[in-house]
Amino acid sequence: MNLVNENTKRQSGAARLVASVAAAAWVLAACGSSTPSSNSHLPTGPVTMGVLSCFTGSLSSLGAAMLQGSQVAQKAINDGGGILGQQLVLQHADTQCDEADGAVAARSLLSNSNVVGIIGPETQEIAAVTPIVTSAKITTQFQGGSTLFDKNTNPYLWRDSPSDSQLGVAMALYAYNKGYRKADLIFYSDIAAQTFPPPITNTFTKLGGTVVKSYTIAPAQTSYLTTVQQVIADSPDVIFTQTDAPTAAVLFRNFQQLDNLAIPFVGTDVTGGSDYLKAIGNQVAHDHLISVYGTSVSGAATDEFNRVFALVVPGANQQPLANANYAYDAVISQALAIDKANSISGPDINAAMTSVTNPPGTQCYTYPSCLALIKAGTKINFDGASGPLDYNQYHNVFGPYAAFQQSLAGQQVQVQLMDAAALAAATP
Amino acid sequence: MTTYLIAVLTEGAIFGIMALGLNVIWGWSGDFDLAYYGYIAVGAYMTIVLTVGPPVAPAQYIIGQSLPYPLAVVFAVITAMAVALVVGSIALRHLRGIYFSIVTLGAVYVMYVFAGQYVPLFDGYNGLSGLFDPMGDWFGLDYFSYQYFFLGLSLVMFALVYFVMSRVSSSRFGMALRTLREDERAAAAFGRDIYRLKLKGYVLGAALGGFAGALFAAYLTAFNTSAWSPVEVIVLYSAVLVGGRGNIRGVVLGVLIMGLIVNESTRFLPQLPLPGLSAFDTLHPQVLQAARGGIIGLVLVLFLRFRPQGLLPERRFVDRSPATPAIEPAPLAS
Amino acid sequence: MHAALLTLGFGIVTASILALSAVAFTLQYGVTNVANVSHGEILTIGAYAAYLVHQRTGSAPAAAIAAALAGGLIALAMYSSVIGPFIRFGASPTVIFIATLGVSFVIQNVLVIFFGAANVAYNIDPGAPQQVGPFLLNALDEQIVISAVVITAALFFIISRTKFGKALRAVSQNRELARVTGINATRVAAATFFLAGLIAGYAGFVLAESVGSFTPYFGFGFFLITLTAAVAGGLGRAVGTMVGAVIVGIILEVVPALPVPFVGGYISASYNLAIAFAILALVILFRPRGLFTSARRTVFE
Repeated sequence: MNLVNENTKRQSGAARLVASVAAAAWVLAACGSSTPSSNSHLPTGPVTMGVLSCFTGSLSSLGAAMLQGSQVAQKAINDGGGILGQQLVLQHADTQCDEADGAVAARSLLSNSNVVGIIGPETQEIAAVTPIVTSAKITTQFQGGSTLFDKNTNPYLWRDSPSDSQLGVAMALYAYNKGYRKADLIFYSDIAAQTFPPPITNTFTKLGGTVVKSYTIAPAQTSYLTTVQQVIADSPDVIFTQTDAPTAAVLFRNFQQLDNLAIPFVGTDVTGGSDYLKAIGNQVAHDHLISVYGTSVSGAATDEFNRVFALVVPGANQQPLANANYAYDAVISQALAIDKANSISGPDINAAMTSVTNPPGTQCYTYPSCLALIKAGTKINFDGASGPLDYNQYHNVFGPYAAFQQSLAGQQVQVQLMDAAALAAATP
Repeated sequence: MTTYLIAVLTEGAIFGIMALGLNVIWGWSGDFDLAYYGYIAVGAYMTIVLTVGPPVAPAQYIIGQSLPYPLAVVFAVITAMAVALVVGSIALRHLRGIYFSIVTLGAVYVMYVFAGQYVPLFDGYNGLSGLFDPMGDWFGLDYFSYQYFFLGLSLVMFALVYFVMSRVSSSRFGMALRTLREDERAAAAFGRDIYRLKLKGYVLGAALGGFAGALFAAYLTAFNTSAWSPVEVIVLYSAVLVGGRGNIRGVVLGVLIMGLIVNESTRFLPQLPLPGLSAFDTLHPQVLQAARGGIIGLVLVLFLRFRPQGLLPERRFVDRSPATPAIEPAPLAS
Repeated sequence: MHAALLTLGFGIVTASILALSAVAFTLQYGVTNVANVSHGEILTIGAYAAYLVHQRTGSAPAAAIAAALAGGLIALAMYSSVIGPFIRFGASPTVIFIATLGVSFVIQNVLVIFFGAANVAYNIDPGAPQQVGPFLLNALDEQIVISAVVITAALFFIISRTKFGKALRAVSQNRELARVTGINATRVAAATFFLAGLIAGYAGFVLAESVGSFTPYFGFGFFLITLTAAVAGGLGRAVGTMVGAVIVGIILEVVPALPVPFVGGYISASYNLAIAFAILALVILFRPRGLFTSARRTVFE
């Protein structure tokens, strides 16, 4: 058979391929610069910030909220005088809630859009995105709750939303103060299931309560009746929970079937989100669920957020998406850092961050007022819509937490405040 | 643009290795193996636990050694092959067609659930991270030069794998696999041990997957269950299909088209100079992204219907030697 | 014992929904030899149709009918535009299997474009739970089980007593032979798909009702369990499929309740689907024709 000819044709074809590939690699190496073009210090055109999150996939509500909050901040900034005299432009990139796409999306934002700061990403993507933003020296406002970030030492990563570990402490403290002593945990099989149970359990136990058992359920099943039965058999005083909305719908329905929702629930910011509340229904939420999450010290920043929100999303009965305020604060604080540093170079912005957010300084709550103070040379301490934004040495924030109940009219109403001191005392 | 392009090309080269491995199982052996991505994941996870050292609380994972990267890669590939041996020996013994596919789907799903749920294994949903610039310190490279280095490394590895696969393709083993695909009963009649041949092919494909996974882990510096998303998997399978199953040149073409062009160019859809597009995209950011996924699915279906052999169909081996009589004609008696 | 019976009761509700979905899947498989991976999307579309109609009219029966019709139409479309042409063009079942995977992907993304990726809440008051024998069911559960039984009975009647049912059985067993006897196999297949779609669309409505909210991806997740039930029951055999559905539904409820020395205590319910797949793999390996059949379908397809 004349296979010999086929073989040599293949081999020389393969060899040519190898050669051309190697050549391409050398050419790229030759004409590529070894450092990226560093941002010059003053902007010559609109300033771009990147929103890096999931816009498709089951966690896409996070991306939508991040983008919305950023847009509100964008309006506030552009109406309030812009950044260093330039308008703010937002560019978003979809990580599809996965690491592989996240890495490419981050690189795309950096090299194609020349962003000076990034809002995001989420917990799934942060590991892969970190080296990229660190080498580019771009300030990145991580928006995930993972407790792995509690001891963050990377200077370019900041988190303006409190860690899930803090949230766990607050949940346990609230429940204990309410008089509950026996607890069960129900979390769904996701990164949340790993981050919440330890701080809740440790805090609750430290305060004097007991955790009977921690249950992990798979999301979006048609029934959790067996798990619910086991929980009821434990006869706890309270159930700590976080699941996604569809899972919650089934879970609450099952509890209603079996014990008429006799055991109260204490949840997180996710359980205070509009899609979660929609899924379980307003009445049920009002009667049986308390959501614990971070809140602001003063109302002024939140009022400003809501005011600008109404301009961006007009219409009666429009509510900001849950956690949009964290993205809003992230963008505003980055903009203020740029104004303070008088530069759009990454390291300069990063160095200026704590000088606009941390005490001491004159407290300010809106972009225009903070900007005016900076221009007048006063040291400011920006307190945002989501909290005082006082970063500790790990670039994490702490703040007061509040317990929220859903009103029959469909709003989250604060029913109890737990201040930072009480939380610190309760932290194991 | 440069860092982005380098990243895309590196990913493309790694993707090419994955596709070549899948081609062994799907293109040559003809089995639609849905567990393939699992071997990539095994390669990635094992590489990381063997290089980043012992876990720092609260992270947990097995092993935790600090071996040099090339050695870790070798072990990772061996592990992937071992897992494939287990899955393949069960699935390949009697199953073909969709039953085989369904069992492999089950296998990869179980792997996925374990990786995500059983925290002591690979830190559950958090996954593993910390594989920064392996071998970079041997050459004293900074972060940026390392990107070029790794791109070169990936391209060279890809070329190497391609070269080896082209040899395997025309070897007896490669041809035997393809005869199995065409007609198992005939091959059996000729004395081929179907099961062993297929198993060998399966493990070989998995080895390439594990190797690609090891490179992928270094490229991402991390790996968790989110990297197993359905979109990645479908792009990989479409690449093999579109390019031409069985033909390694076709596979490379498929990777270029599906992986690079379709997957990446649609990332830039929002920036097309169409009036109102950018405003629309900001208001509904999921639309254009979902369009990407929809386009990929559509391309898959259209190709299966109109060009199932792919853009570059497999070369059929044709016996071109001049016809020789089977029996020497007896010389005429003089 | 009481707890065991309760668990059994829960399992029966899940099994009813599963039975509807699985029998629809098996009808499609029987008549075309194709495992339709986009089957889950028929349920999803049924759910969205029900949601839209319910929003406009506030009537659950209207929503149920809308769901069934939408399901029937989309299944018919799947057959006429993808599966049918592929069969005529001579593609192997594996190729069509992959094509339906692509279709599934397209449908999910189209739904994301129109409805967004976030979940849609679908709240219908389920009613208070009552004791029905040893089980605890509410009005919604009763509706599900009863409608599943009724639909199953109707289907059984159609398949065994009507002319169409006869043609369906003929095409399922041997397409070519059926053609020879004058049956228009394509028409029968299309009608079967429509019928299967009606059932699957209704199953989507029922599933959305009982789960309370859904996303464009929810049908696909349910498809995996459906596949398990259908294969366990015997692909292509309607009765076996339903028994398979009941068994799988019950197993999925019972397993998390079993005490097992696994990481101390009980198997976490999140391993549910993995267990379903383990069952699937075991069935395929040891009784690939299904647990209850003695069919002579070969495994080498």
